[in-house]
Amino acid sequence: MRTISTRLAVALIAVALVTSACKSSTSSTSSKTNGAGASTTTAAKSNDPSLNQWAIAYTGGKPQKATGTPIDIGYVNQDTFFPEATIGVDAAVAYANAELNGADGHPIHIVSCQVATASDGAKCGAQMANSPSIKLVLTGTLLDGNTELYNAMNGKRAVIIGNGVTPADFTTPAGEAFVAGAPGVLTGMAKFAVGQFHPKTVALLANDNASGHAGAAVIMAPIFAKANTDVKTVFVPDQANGAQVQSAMQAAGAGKADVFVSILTLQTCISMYDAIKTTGIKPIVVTTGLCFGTPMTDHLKQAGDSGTYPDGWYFGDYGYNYFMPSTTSGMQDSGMNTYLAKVHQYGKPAPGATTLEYSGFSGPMFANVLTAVKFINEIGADKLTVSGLDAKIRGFTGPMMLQVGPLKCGVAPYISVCGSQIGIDQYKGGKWVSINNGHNGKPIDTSTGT
Amino acid sequence: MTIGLAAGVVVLGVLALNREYRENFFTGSGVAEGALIAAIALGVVLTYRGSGVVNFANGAIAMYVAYVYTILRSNGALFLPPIPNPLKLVEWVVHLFQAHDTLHLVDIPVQISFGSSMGFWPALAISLVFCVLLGLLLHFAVFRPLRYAPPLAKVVASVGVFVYLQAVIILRFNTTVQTVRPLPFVHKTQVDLGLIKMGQDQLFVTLLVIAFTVGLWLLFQYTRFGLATRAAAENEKGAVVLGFSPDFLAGSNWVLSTVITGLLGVLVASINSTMDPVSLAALIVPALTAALVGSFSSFGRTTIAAFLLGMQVPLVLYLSANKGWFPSTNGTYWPGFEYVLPLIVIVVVLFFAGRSLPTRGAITLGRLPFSPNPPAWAMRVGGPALALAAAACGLFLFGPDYRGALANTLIGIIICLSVVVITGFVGQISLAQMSFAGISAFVVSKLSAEQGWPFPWPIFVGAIVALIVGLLVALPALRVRGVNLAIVTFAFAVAIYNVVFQNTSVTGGYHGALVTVPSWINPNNAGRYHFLGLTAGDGLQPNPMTAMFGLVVVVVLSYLVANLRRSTTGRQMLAMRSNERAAAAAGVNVAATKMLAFAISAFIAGMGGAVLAYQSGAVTAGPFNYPASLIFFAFAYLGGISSVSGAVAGGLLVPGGLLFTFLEDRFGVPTGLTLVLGGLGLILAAIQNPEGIAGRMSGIGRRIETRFASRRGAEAHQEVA
Repeated sequence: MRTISTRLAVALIAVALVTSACKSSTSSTSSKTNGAGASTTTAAKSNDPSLNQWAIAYTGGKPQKATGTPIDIGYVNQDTFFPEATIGVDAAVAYANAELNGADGHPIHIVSCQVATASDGAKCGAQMANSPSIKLVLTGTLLDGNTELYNAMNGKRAVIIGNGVTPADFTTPAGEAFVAGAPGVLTGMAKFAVGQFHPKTVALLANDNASGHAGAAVIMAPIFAKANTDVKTVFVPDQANGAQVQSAMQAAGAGKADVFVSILTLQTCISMYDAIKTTGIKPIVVTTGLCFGTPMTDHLKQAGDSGTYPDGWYFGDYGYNYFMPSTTSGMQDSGMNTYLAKVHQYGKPAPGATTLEYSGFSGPMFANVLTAVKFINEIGADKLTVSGLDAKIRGFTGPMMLQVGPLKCGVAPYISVCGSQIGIDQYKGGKWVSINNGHNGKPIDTSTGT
Repeated sequence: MTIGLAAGVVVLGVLALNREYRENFFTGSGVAEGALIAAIALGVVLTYRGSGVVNFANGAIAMYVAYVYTILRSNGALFLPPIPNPLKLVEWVVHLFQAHDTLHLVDIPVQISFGSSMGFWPALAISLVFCVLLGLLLHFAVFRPLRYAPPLAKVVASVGVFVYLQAVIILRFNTTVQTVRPLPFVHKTQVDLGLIKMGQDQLFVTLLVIAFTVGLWLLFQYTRFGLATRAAAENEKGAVVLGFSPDFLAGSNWVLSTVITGLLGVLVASINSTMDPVSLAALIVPALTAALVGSFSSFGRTTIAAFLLGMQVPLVLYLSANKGWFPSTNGTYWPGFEYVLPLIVIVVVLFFAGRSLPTRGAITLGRLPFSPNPPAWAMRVGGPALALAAAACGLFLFGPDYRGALANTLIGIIICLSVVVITGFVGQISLAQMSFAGISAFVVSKLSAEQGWPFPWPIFVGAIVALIVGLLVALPALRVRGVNLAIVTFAFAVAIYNVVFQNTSVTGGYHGALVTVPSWINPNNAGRYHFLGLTAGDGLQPNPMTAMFGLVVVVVLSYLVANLRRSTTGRQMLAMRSNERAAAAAGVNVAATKMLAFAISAFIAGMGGAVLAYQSGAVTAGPFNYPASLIFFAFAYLGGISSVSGAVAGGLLVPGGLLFTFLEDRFGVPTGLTLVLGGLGLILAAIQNPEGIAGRMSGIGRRIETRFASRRGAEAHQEVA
């Protein structure tokens, strides 16, 4: 028996040691990266009073620090894949608490739950549904456990869905997403390709997962078919290497097609850029905003290539561009200037990163937090109920921070997607050019046949 | 062999004569992909020749070293794995009595900084030094103690290394993409070689792989070191008599293997421009295929096979996207067939040449984990008591987090039970158990949500479909065993995931593969249940009855497996596990017994998948991806691979299960550490405790029993005296 006790003690000590190792690791990493990652590439100065005025007008807040008892807001994300969503949430909460009077005077307290597996989705959903202090839940971006999460919270909590990427995000009755999401962006990209270039042939690369398949076959294929465009689709694994992407491009005929459309992750975008360079082809590239993340910029710089993003490519987004000069039309009105200044002021790089990833899904999550603040301010912190928040969410028609156009929620088949307009930008000659977006007042409406 | 070569020549001839096929087979990207596969495969062959280990972790080693190099170049820092900090124990004790901010001792650094970003050559030099140290560590700490262990233990240890390395990277860097700086001496500009056009950097790595192949062949053919390694591989005792140290040779080969794998990993990452924890590690499947074609001994054949496997990818992709005759689904082609070819190659090679392949494990089987006969008291009292305790906890005592953890543990137990039958009882290594579970889960979705079948019938049909697929997978097992079978099942898991589980006809496209769940087991039903004057549940999610449903299945399957062990069939399985020839000589129908074991195992895994489907309310491909099979295999081994109690222990250990929920709840162990600890535990279990936790506990129990028995015997003797 003594042997068992000794071994049990040794095992417990070992666990404690390893645990402590991890804890010390985390804290050390954070402090290091926090210091290293302070970026100064803001589009507008953070102390510009007009930035705060915009946010106060948008949220209905006051220019003061929040005090009193905190208000809990649930937040569920998959940080291992989408850490930038959390950067946006944390920056927005810090900003609102410090400068916007929090939520109706109360500091916002984020109750976070991380998803890594499908069962985590159920666990997080149950955690949110069981907690009486949480009335509202924000979701970030999840690849796993979406259905389980939504099923667990459906009808029990008001839910603002972040950046949906899986089918469940677009069809769940549990909440609403204010951004156009993949259905909007992909529809808009296909409409843009057809309307702008009238292609006879399109090469389409999509990720080999449920979203990629559905995006290519369910959303884009009918639009190309209606335009009598011949589409060659090839699927590539989510984390394909450069050679695999090059093979897929060759199979799809990217070098010969009139337009080359890609709906890929950032990693495969970088491989796509390399493959285009290696093979020497010059396609018209229409792709998503996922392709202009910081790693792409780093890659171009490391490769010694000119420009910050691939030259000549067309990018689909939510209608406003992170990289336009602050004086560009729409930058102030959409809240983009406020976002850029405040995310740089309050944002911290993700663990292990040295630069602040403020593009991608960070912006929409920042916007969702401020929109949640707006709803709480309108209802009043003392009168918050799940049904009241849910009604606010479903009745919201915009304007939505960083999302172009009015919102229309509950429209089949993507009943949980409210945004219906998107933008297309082109990076050319070292500058961003508005093609169809909120900056030039010509966004693409994905809800109409035109 | 001659037939195979002739078939290969014919296929190549057809490819060369048809312009369309030729242009899509002889491509730069295909050759480059082949070079990537060969880079991993050469290390696999080298390790096997030196130490007899089929290293499933070789892709992960390449990935880890590439990360070391990448972070050195970008941040000028060498990151460290989690290192236990003894001072934290002091802090922990102090914090038991004082506030947490009263004492904070020194933290162990997570990295060693060399300044800012680093140039190519210094970063490469440090990375290669790291490779040498890693090779020595793997040899001395992991595989040297396993020299005389059965192949199962070596596979388990290499899976442990795989899990550990990948978990450390995810813990440190998440899965976010890291950009890798390009090589300073080659560019991405295209080089026209006539038949093939490829990037300068791709050509460089291709030539380097070929150079390494030739170099290794020369080393093993003409140098004293190489000849000694070959001699030791053939006959270790003979090599010792001739004055060679097999231990030194194995260690040297490990170092050589990690250096070559690491170097090529760095170069491959550089030409890919990005790094992540998955893609390089995943090349292990085609790399094992290539190594298998090379009989784990021929560097030349391995490299040629690797190039052919890489070159088929663009051709298959081209045919799938452009030929009407290619299978299609929902209006687009049926993707994933490029993953099927490695499986076909493996099955064909092993089926027709399986017995002639050198399998060291077949020569020295060593001691397999003890598979105890379940004692009568355990069947009559222990099992029911444990089930009742679990039910009481789930219904009355546990809060929401632990109820969810209990449900996860129960699913883990079911999958581990399936591993117990196939590996623990029969000695066949299957790395595809989650694939069987996935097949069943998707069948459950189709029948319950689309066809409207009432609960519980979809469960049985799902499990039976899994059983049928299990029988098909068992066919190669009739001629192969041990590590080779592990490779077959691993390749099957990869193929089924890409071809079936990613297919929109199966996954349901944008609507998903839903499951119609009865209200009483729906986890989101937060009701209270009253019976016998008691109230179960606390009105919170998850529904306590969800876990009870899983518990019923676990109890039924546990008794099935326990009775199987006690039956004649079970004894035949164990006899076969010990020695197939002897079992056959004793009248055991080896083929039928193997098929039966595969069928039972796949059926149990199918039940696990079905339970998971009902607990989730929807089926997605994620939980059934091939790494999940590796992880469940790992935890099953850790728990104890040859008994029902081992499966129970394994279930407790799985990610999201009771143990890690407890550790997170009580000690703050983050979930990210689950796989790090799991990988380490697996390595330690393979070396120190092949019988797993349950086996060790049972051994301790037996010793106590024996001690009491002998004391009673002595007392009785004294009384008589």
